[in-house]
Amino acid sequence: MFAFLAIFFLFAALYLGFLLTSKSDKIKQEQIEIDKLRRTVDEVDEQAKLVVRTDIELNKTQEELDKKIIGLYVLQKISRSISTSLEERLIYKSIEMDTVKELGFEKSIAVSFDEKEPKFTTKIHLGFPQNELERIETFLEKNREFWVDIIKREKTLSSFSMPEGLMVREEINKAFGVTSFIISPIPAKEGNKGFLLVGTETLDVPITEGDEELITILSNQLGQSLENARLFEKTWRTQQELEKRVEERTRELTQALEEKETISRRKSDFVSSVAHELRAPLTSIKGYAAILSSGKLGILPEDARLRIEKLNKHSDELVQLVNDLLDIARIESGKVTMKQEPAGLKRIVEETLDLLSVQCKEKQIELSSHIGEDIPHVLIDIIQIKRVFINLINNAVKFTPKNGRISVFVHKIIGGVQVDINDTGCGIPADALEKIFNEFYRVDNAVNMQVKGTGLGLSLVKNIIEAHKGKIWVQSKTGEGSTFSFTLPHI
Amino acid sequence: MDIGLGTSLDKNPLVAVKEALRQAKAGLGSETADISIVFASGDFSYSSILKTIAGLMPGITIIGSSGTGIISSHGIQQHGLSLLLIRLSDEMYIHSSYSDNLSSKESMRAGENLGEKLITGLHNIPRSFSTVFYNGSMGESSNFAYGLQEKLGRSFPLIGAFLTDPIHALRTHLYLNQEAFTDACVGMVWGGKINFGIGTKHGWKPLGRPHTVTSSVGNVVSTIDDQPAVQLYADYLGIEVSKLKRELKHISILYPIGLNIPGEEEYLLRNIVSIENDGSFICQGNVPEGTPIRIMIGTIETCLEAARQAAKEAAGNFSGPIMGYKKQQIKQFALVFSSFSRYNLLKRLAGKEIEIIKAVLGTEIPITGVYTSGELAPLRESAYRGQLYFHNQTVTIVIIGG
Repeated sequence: MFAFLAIFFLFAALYLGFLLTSKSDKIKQEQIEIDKLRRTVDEVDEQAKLVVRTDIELNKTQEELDKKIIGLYVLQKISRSISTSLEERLIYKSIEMDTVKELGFEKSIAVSFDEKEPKFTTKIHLGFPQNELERIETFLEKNREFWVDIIKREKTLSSFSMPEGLMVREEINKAFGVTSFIISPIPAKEGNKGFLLVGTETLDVPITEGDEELITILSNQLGQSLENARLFEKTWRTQQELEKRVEERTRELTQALEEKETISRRKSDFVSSVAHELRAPLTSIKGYAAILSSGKLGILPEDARLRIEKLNKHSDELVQLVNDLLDIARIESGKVTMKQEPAGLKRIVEETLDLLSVQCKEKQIELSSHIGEDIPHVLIDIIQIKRVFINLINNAVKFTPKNGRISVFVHKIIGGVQVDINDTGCGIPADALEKIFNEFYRVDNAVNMQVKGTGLGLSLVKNIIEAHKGKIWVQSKTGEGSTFSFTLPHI
Repeated sequence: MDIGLGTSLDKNPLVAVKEALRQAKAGLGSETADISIVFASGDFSYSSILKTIAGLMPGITIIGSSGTGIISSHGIQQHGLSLLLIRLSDEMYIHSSYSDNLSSKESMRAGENLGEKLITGLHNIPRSFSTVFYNGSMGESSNFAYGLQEKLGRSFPLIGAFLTDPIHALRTHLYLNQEAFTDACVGMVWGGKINFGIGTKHGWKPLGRPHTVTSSVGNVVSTIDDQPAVQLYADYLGIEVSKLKRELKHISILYPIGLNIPGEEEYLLRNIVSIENDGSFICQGNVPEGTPIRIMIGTIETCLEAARQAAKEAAGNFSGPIMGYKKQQIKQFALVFSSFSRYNLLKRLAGKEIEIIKAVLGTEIPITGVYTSGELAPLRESAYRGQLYFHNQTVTIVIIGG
């Protein structure tokens, strides 16, 4: 019995031992599984951390990208608005509350600094009640050195770039009622510089580098547009000044011209009336001289006859002078209208040359004309133009020495015909060229000393040509002959 | 029930009210209404709004609030006004009341106080559900809800919105008739032949291993897994506490903590409001000691998807026919309370949330609502057992029909 019990206990002990061993193995196995699971959980947790860290970076990048997209969109909008404004007030006005909000801020203020006064002036204020502005301007004045330094350094600063806890940062926050801000100077080459401040009251909108960049671009754009506006205003003012001066000068010239015309008219009237007054007695003198000279009143002694002949001749010259004067006065005053008709110049030139050929032969002067075949007809008063030719060729004969040459050229030009009368005469001194068409002007030379003249011929010629809407001028050098040229417009 | 919605963006409160009223009356098809639910941005003068409505619609019950952003069928506005006019049908009842000086009361007592006032107006009438707005600082909002339910009924359905204005640092005002309140709660109880459906979702998912709150009092979490609470974030985000403090608002929205509530599938979110020097952090809402928590992660996509799910849930929970009414006779509108954190995350896509809700509910259902700093709602209405929670970062939708 005892042995049986002993065997039983032995087997029981063995069985229990087996069970314990088996249980212990199971526990160990489970422990291994638990450890494995724990490690997996730890690993998953580590992966979760990695996910969060990656996610936060992605979010930041996304946010910064979103901000930039919005910022660029807003900038484009503002740029479009301010680049089309050329007035300072309108440029500042382009920055609106909605725009500031779109950029992620609730407040904005633009301040200009006038160095001459020196004084800060608020140009725009968005999100600031009116009653705060005075306090802000006082704050700026109180810390003028600091703000002027910021403006002059032309460098953007913000609560992102300024260390936290810095007294200045806290003061700015307090003064402008913000928790984050960006201050960007508004640059200017000329005129007043300033700064743009944008800020937010909420703590959960941290300023980033991207924000700083955007506001810097915005303030630079502002500065550029203000500069353009200033330049435009300057140019505009200069132009206005110039226009004003041109206007004044034009007025003066018009006045002078009117005065000149009045004087000229008076002169013409005077000359005309004097000439009329002279013509009547001259006619009588000439008549009496003719009667006396004809011997109808008896034969005159030889001395008396010679004097009477001189009297007659001088009277003719005087009549010619009076007639010329009258003609000039009439043409100048517009009392004589040119009886214009289409005519060719060839015939007029030939007739004139024919008329003066005797004089030329006497002086052995070669007289020639060169008229192109294609010369168009011109609208002229034939008698007056013939007078021009006679006057000019006669002058040429007068001042051309023996064996000289006088050539008349007629050629086509754009819009009309040009006539050149060239001689190999003594020429005209340079200082006389300008005055030669003036009334009563006579060149001081040997020929004029010997030959009498009224000094009205060229003036009359000029008046006739101008009455035909043509131009007259002379090219000459002393001793090298002269060329008188005039133009006549074609039909 | 007849409904008309009007909105305005005009900065002049008188013009804004007139414009919104004109639209709402047109939608309502009547010049008279019983209730006006008004949400306006904080920059409006509340007295002008209330006086104008009362002047133009004598005898109407006005209820609503100012807020950071206004939600309506027309989208989202930081400045604006949304006005919903309701003409109640027969056997449909509503009673509204308020309780003020919340900061001087215990939150449960405040709830009881409002509950008492609300039921006095609806004696012997079957009560359907209640909507409350509050802007006072009080302890645990769930206790407030508990107090309300103590009076209205233990399993009485309720949704609420906690309203502050974090952007403009302005006080919000709660509207009740011609009075505006701060540090108060206003509520309304709906009763009679009325149906409703609630949907609430956030869209954040748990990530990493579970952790346990080892020490907390109210909304102050001192230790997690016996480590200073802030260490949890420092570990997961791999950033220093100073940087964490600086970027807290942003981080807190992206990675709130999720409270694992026994018996609930959904996690209850908590935003971190501030980090204290001793390593503890303060949450927007209580975190009971011993609660298992997880770090949560969400994206714009999951956030928008949650709006779709919330709308589907609300539509699905909207109970069937009302006795005596044909289906086509039942008019509906939706109240939407979306957390301002969602607005911060979605930013320019915030309007899309409303578009999604509209797409699910149908464009014919007028929507009005406001951005909130916390929402009172069950975690899931289909599993509603009388338990209300104070949420962060949800979009809460209630469809009301009658």
